[in-house]
Amino acid sequence: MNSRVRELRQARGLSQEALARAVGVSRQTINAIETGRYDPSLRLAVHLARHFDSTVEEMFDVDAH
Amino acid sequence: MSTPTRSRLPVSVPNAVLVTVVVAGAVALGVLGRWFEAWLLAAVSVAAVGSALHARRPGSRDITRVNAIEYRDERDRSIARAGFSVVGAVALVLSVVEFVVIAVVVAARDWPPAVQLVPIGQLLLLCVVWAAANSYAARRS
Repeated sequence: MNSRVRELRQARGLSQEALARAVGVSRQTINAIETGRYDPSLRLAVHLARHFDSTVEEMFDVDAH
Repeated sequence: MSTPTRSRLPVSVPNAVLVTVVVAGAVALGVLGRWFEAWLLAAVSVAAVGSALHARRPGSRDITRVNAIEYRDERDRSIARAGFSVVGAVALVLSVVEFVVIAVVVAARDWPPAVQLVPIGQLLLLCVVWAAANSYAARRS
């Protein structure tokens, strides 16, 4: 699944480690989401969206594989 | 924000249980005077705790955490589930193979039929656990 996590993270000048700490996951999980290797749970997707003051639909493209 | 899923223990609950069992075994062996085995199990418990603590350090790799049963987040648990599902499938197949081989050997060598009870029991137990796990997963999803 494509996401805008990397784009939004970089726009805010955050490292993967800092974002991971903020949403309570490992740095590898953020990296896996950014590279499309891992689809986050709904809970984590909502936490990520809230962190960037966005919505899940804006952050994740569920039609892309 | 999401809550980190670490317990208050210095190691995960499964590791705490495993280490407790190994330490209890070491103590029991020590009481029985079997010092070599006791020290061996004590060394295993120290290694297990060391491995768990190593996996829990902040910069550890995901594969290190999963192998040490020290999951940090949902992706670690997802990786572990995938790994354990393969282990379960292989265990079922190997148990069937073991049962067939032992059945043939017992028949050919005139061993007591009780020898067959272990593989049959193992196979039945695995099937019961499999069915229970499927039922649990179906109810939760």
